[in-house]
Amino acid sequence: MLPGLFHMESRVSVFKLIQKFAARTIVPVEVDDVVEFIRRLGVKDEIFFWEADISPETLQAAITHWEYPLDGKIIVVADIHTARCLPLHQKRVAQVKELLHILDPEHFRVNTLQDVHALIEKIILPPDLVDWENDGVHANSDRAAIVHALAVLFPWAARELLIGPFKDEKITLTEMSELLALPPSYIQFVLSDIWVELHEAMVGPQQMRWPDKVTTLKADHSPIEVYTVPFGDDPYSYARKMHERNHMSGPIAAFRIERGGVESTLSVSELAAYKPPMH
Amino acid sequence: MRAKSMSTLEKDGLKACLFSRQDRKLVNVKFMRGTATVIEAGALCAAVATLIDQRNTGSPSEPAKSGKRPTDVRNLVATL
Repeated sequence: MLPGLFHMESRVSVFKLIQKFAARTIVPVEVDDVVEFIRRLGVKDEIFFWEADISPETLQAAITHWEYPLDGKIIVVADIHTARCLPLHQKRVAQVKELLHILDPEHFRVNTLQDVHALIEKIILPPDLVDWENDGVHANSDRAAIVHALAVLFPWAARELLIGPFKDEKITLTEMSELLALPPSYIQFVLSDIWVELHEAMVGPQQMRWPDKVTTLKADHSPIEVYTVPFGDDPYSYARKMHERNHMSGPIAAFRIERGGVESTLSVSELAAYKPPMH
Repeated sequence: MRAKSMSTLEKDGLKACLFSRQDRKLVNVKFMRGTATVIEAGALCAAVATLIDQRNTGSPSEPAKSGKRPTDVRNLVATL
């Protein structure tokens, strides 16, 4: 898998969505939450969910996105189809994956018979025959959307909080699967080292447009000082180091960390307990 | 083992379910592959035809709900 394929420069809406959910620590993320955020991005399309009596061994889910001309207007309808007997946790991933295709830019869309044929020929390939470099943008965007869906359903902030206890065997894969309402295999994938690279590839280009910042906060969360994090440094580690070395002044009760445009607030003890991701 | 390519019949079936209606135009279609290692193009085309048919004749469902109470991972981790 090539992390470069997950760069988001041409997919600002999906980037915004992943960024929005990255700071979230309340789980599980519901499919409805994703629908709501898509609405907030300004998408007016009608969205319907359908269950079909199809074998999930053949096809787990699909989106069919249509334009209906009506009284001189165009009504746009996104139909999210899932196999009826798909297990709940897998169905959540499938529905979010298909929902994200509502945000596909024009050149990722498949809407000619020839392109549908070509997509099916690629999608049916067994995993060992997937060729990310030559399968083309339609097939790759289809496959990459699963990774984007996982980034939404297992937010980065939640991963960062859980990875330490998981490595210390304080929480199991099964417990995390229940907590996040996701299949264990996906949890394992998100906890793996490759995820760090993938996530950076997803949010990286935009992240470089503004520096990360650390703001020290009083007990009422009013700001004391703002620090710009040196490029390439992990802002959480930077804040912890600066605080431990008494380089920050004031009655600090908490820290607001802005990483790649996403804000999260940590208490002094939470920051002290923070463990940087293993690269 | 590689699956067989699509037959003319299967291509015609896809055309019928995705492109035959005059009252709507396809904007985009994407798929989440099934879990089988080998999937025949014909089986996938048949599945697409089924879901379009059931969409045209059925009623919509609700988005999947986890049924779980929201948990702040921050609080949970503090208790571990």
